[in-house]
Formats: sequence, structure tokens, C-alpha cells
Amino acid sequence: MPKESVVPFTSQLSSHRLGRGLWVVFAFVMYAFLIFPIIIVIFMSFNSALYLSFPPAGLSLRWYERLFSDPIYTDASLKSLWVGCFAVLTATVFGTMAAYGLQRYRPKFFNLINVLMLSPLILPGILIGLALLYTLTTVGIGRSMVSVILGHTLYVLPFTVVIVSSALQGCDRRLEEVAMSLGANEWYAFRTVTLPIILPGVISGALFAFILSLDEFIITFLLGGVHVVTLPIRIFTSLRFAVDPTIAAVSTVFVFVTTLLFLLAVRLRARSQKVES
Amino acid sequence: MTTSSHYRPRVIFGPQAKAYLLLSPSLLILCFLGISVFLLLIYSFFTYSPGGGMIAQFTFENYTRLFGKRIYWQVIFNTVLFSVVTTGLALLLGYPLAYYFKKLSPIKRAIGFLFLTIPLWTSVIVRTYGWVIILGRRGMINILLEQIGFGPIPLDIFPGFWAVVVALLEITLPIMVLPIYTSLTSLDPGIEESSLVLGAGPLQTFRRVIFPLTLPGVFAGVILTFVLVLSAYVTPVILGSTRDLVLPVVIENQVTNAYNIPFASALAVVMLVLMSIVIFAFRRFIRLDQLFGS
Repeated sequence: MPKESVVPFTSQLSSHRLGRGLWVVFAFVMYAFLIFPIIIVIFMSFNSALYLSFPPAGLSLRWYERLFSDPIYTDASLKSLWVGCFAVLTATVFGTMAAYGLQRYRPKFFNLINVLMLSPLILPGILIGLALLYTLTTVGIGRSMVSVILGHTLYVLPFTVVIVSSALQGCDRRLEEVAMSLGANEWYAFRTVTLPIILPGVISGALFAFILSLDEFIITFLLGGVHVVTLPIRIFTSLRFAVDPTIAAVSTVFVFVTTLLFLLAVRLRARSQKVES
Repeated sequence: MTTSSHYRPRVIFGPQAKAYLLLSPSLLILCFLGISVFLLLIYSFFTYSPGGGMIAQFTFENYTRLFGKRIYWQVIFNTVLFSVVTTGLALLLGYPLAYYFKKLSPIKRAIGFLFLTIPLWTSVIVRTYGWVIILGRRGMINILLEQIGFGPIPLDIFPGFWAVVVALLEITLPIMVLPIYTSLTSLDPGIEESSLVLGAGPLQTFRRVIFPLTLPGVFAGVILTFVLVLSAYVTPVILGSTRDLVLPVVIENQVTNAYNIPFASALAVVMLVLMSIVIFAFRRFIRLDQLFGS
């Protein structure tokens, strides 16, 4: 048997210079592919010309100026914030309760309930929207803010359940039992012992849910119609009529906000996992 | 006994009752959704009354229309084709990327993951808009090609099939890589070594040992990608041509323009069936809750 065959495949590759170079090139092409559409939008938003040109016509903030003087985008942003706040608040409270019930009391049919809780993840948004639209119309709510908030709540609920569950799994149950043995009732023990420990997890779950709600399109489109024009819907409609770099400016602000929220959520999640260990 | 019962809180509800009490708000809205989805199945057999309503009168009309017209077969075919092509390409590019991530140092890997997750938290509208700027007739690629000297508008992929596939690939790549990466890291590193020590070449080791062991991750990635593409609406609407109609676009059209709920429901049922086929085909290899692990 030749001696070098004992060296594992991975280290063989890394010792092979050409092979290694190819891997790096491949990875960088993939990275570029993943971020390029966003980079080009940011680029467009600072370009002074109406149309794309190389080299760029010049640096300008005129699209941002127009963005902040035009109420349609600020109105849409406010709508997005309202929908997001209500949906995320509901989903976080419901999701935390559900996660606590699942993790601490282990109900019968645990697996069945778990799958049911996670089912909106695999259910396409268009089906959630279509299904809810007709039932809600029958009930008399129809296309409205309430319908959109309900749709978003269902859409983000699984994420809060999963993230809070994992935070609860890392929180030692005995701490709560000690508190109760010292005279606290269950609610008091939860509020003063468990909740502070899982709070970073709960908040990071809420932030992830908020990002999802901000980005959500099709459920809002079906359940809101012309009544609830959130930011993604506003950008979508503008895109269909005219290509105006103001869209690039609003998109840049939008991406910037979700990126900040995402980094915050990741940080909090890392902290909650540190607490666990 | 007496000392322990001393601090026990009064038992009003048992643990089971408490669990369901805590679960009830979530279960309530989930049941509302579940019933609504189930009703779609029934509505698909209802009669559409022009003017926007529907009558509770049993009919096969929606399905005979759906399967009787060439255009709807074309729509189903398009939907499946987009899913198959995108999933295949995502696997082809995603597996090597996941493999590469495994070998990186922790810091480089963290940076890699940051790049990988960018499409996940940026709006689909923004990303699609970016692709319009890149692939459009007067877009970046065409301007660059023109400056190199390939003449005006040499690349005519927008709007069209490949523009949609490229844009879908951007969002499905992370979804493919993450579960594959998870199953690659859970592999015992000794397995690869043993295979090599026992005389298998690197390629054979990969084909016969590593790849089969990471199949759960691969199938999870395939299912998630497939379902995501199957239900994509924004990307085909903005980047596709009129020939590239897919099920979600037709469903939305039936709801918004005709308010034909029975027919939209029939189309939705077809979509659910397609999804179920994929999930059932790979169900044996994965656990459903594992699917959501990443």
C-alpha cells in the first residue's frame, strides 16, 4: 500500500497547492454571487444617473433626498413596523408559552404537537395567504390589517417556538425548583428565575421573527390587498411601473435595518448559548 | 412526606392540563390555519359564480378545467422544471461549498457563514431588483460585455427562464448548504481516515463513504429547496417572461383578478400534492423535526 494514501483526503487537498487555489476561487465566486445583487442595489442608490452606467456617473444623495421627501415610502415603512410589532409581540408571547408548556410539562402527543407547531415553516406563504383569506372573509374580517397581522403571527410563530425551546433546554430546571422550594409559586419562579435566564433567547427569537415579518411579501399581498401596503409591497409595485433609483435608496435603507437587527439577534443568541454552558 | 408536601404549591392543574393551557393560544391559531387549509380541499369542488362568489354545489369543473387545458399542464410543468433545475444546481454548488466550510479555520468559517446568510435576511424584493439591474437588457452584464466589444445586447436572458433560476439559486444555496454542513460536521473524522487506510482512494472514499453518510443533510436540503422554489412568487413574476408562468403566480392571479376561489383552491391542491410527493419520497431518510433543526 502506498504510504501517502494514509493521509486524509482533506489534508491531501490542502497540501496540494493547485487544488487549494481552486477551492478558494470557487468559494469566492460563490460569495460574490450571494452578495452581488445587494451590492449593486447599494451602488445604484448612490449613483447620480437615472440609469446604470460604467464608470458611474457620479456620487449623489439625490435619491435619498427624494426618498425622505416622498410620503409613500415613509407611510409604507410605518405600516411594516406596525404589522411587525403586533405580529411579533403576539408570536413571542404565544411561542414562549407554548415552548414552556412543551419543554417543562412534556404533554402527551408531544411529537404530534411539535410537528403541528412547526408546520407553517413548510407550508408555502401563498397557501397560508389563500387559505386564511377565504376563512377570514367568511368570518367578516376580509382584507385588513388584522388579517395581515394574523397571517404574519402564524408565519413567524414556529421560529419563536424553536428558539425559545432551545433557550429553555439550556436553562437548568432545578433552579426553578429551588426557587419553589423556597416558597415561590410557579409564576413567581418563572418570572424571577427562568425568564431572566432565557430572556436573551426570547429577544433574539423576537428579532428573527421581526426580520421575517418585515421581509414577508405574499401573505401580506393576499391578505392586505390595497389596504395594507407594507414596504416590500410598495417596492414591488414601484418596480413594476418604473425603474427609479429611489427604489434603490429605499432598498438600501431596508437592507441596512434588517442587517443591524440580524447582527443584534445573532449576538443575543450567542450570549444565551454562553449562559447555557 | 410531610416536609415535602410543605412547600408543594396547591395543585389546581396537573402538568398535562398546564401544558395544554400554555399551548392553547398557539394551538388555537394553528388549528384555525389547519382548518382553513383543509377547507381549500373542499372549496376546490365548489362551483364558481361569476361576480366573485362561490356556491356550495359539488362539481369536478375546476379539475376538468385544470387538467383539460394545455396551458395549465404547461404551468405545472414549468413549476416542476424550475424546482428540479434549481434544486439540482443548488446541490451541485452547495455540497462542495459545505465541504469547503468544514475545512476552514473558525474565523474564516464565520466570515463564510456571514456571506452565506446574507440572502436569508435581505428582502426577496431587494434581491430580485438587484438581479434586474445585473441581468436586464441594459443591465450590468450587457454594459460590460458591450464595453469589451461583444456588441449591443448580446445576452438576452431577462426576462426569462435562466434569470429566474439564477435568482432562485441565490436564496436556495444557503438553504442547501446549512443542513449538508450540519451532517458533515457530525461525521466522525475517523471514518474518512479508516476508509483511506483500508485502501480506498479519495474519490472512492467520498463516493462510497462520506456522501452516503451525509444523505440525511442532502435530503433535508433538497426538500427545503424544492418546496421553496415550488412556492416562489416574486422571482418568477419579476424576472420571468410570460411563458414562465408558475403555479403561485396563477393562484395569485385567480384570487386578485377573478376572485375565483374554487379554481385557486384546485391549483393550491395540485401544489400541495406536488409538495407531498417530494416530502414522502424522501421521508424515510430524514426526521421531520430535523428538517427544521438548522
